Amino acid sequence: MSKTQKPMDLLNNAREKTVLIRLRGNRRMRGTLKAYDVHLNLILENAEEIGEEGLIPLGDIILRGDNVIMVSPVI
Amino acid sequence: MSMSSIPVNSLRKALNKQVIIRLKDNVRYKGKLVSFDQNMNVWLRESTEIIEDEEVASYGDIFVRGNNILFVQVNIEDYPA
Repeated sequence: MSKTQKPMDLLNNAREKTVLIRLRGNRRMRGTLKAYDVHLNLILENAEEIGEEGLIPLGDIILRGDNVIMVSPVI
Repeated sequence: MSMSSIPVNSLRKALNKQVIIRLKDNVRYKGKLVSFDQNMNVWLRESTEIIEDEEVASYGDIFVRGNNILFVQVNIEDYPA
């Protein structure tokens, strides 16, 4: 690897993979990352909100970037 | 170690070292600093999520959106998480 990988490269490597996301307002979600932009707007496929009482299916969503705190690709 | 010079240089010196990211909501992420960008977005490796002094989760890689960061602790060897 010639160049240092930047934080946005982590998201690029996570495309088509399942990601776990922590959002403002004490919310957690997961889904397949289809696309993203510089604002961290995310397109998630088969998204699910991880609630106190289990998973709430949401289908495909466009998540507004300013809510994103943390994104972690699920291994 | 000198903490003079501009803030990005301190952050650059912390690359590949253990850091603790404190967020505005008081959650902490401890891990190895892989990289950061102009927006202070951060990539951490082998990180743990710390809420109220309890390690609640661990992750392989995480991306932290820069706007949520309150501060970054560098040279953390002498300080508890």
